[in-house]
Amino acid sequence: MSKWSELKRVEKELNFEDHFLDFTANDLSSSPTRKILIVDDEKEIRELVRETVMIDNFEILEADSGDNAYNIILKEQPDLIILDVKMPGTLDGVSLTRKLKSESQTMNIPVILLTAVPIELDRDSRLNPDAIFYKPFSPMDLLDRISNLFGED
Amino acid sequence: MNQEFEKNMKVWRKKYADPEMRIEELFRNYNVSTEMIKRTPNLHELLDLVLLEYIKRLDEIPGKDLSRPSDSEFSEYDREKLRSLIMFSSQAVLLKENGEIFNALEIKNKELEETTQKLEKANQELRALNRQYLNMLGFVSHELRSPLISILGFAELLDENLLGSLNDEQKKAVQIIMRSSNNLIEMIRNYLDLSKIEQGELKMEKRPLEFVNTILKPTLEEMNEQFNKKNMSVWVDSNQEEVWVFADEKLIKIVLVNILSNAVKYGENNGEIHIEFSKVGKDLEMRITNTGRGVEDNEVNKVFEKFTQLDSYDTKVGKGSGLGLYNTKYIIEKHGGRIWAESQFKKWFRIVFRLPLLKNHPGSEKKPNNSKQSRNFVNSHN
Repeated sequence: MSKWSELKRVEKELNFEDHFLDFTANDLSSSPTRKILIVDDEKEIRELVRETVMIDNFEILEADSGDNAYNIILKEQPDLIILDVKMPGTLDGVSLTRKLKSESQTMNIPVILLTAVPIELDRDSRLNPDAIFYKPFSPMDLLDRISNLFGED
Repeated sequence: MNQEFEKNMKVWRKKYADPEMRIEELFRNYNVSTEMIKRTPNLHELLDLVLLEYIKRLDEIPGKDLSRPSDSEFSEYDREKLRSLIMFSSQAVLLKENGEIFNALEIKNKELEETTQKLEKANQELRALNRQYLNMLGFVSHELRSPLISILGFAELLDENLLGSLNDEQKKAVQIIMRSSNNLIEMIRNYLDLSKIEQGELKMEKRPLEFVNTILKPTLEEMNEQFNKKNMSVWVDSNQEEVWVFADEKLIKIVLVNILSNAVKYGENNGEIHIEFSKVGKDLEMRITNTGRGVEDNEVNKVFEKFTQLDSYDTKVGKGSGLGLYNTKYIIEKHGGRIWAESQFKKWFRIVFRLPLLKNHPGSEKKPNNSKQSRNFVNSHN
């Protein structure tokens, strides 16, 4: 988890009446707000991921299929993509990851895969997501991992 | 037939009053019969005629054992002829009986065929019903998963005070939500496994598989969080660096996840899980023990029964699907292995399974490492 969310947590645990940290939120983040794209056909999972990453004040983009996601990625160039593996349509999480990691304008965007079943990475070296989370996943761990990927810890 | 028989008998008695003539006629009849065999298209008719001859003979020599006629009444030649006739007749009787049995069998066969067809149809209907049921089970379970994952995730965000701080009672309530959601998710996983296994969707794709690094270590890493939640330490004990089996990776993984989830669920807080594996004969033997309540002796092997909830399990833990270990046993036995449970009530519970080892594996030329090693992959106390 980032220092910021850690601070927020401490603030909330201490139950400060005046959320003084809010005033400094924008001052603390030196770089412009990072964009995270959440791709999942299940609304409930999108909601959970959205609420989770919003704790760290990221900008949220959402897509409900791999095909929609691809268009958004080209247009918006998100800083991170959180991607469900099993989705309807021509591009599921695995094939979208492969596509992104093989194209020059998207290959540097970190990808976190969400999956309910184990993915066989060993047999497919072209599939190289930056992290894999097994459902049910811990939102805390997801936040931690995002911070790691952004090099904020 | 009876009437004809009576008529023949009368004619015969009248005509051949002299025993000598009777014998001659008998042989003549015999010869006629062989001709008749060629002539008569209807086997039953022929057999009846031959049988009739035989019965006539029996009738003509009352009290005589025809199979052993005495010298005084018959010459050697007659005796031989008579014997042949009797043999022929008894063969004929047998043939006739066989014919009847054959007919009866044919009728029975037809009945059986019809019954089989009916059963086949009923069976097909049942299978279709079962498929529908399993499809629905799979569908419902799948649809339930995402909302539950969401519930569990939000509960965790609440529990970690990330959505505002909670008072003690709220925190307790959230933790109950988390525990119940976890139970439900596990149940759903088991139902999905069951529906896949029973629909044959999880086809066995056996291949040479290195158990320790491909299955055990990744599973332990994935489940680390679960161990940590109950502050359990997990110990792995073995003198084997790697073990090769011929198995389906996904199915064996389900086995391990099921047994370990069970150990976490029914094991005690701050308890221990011991994982031991070794080569026993031609098998890999795996022993997974958790400290905790365990089960009573008479219930030990009930843990593998479908939809079984044990009386001696801790009710505070909440109900499971009653499917996890059923699925596990099914998979192990499909691999030609064995599985059983051991327990000391109120102390520990253990699942032991054996899987056939791969005979020739990529690393078999290496000498086994005999030094006993105790490795601790995961230790939440650290």
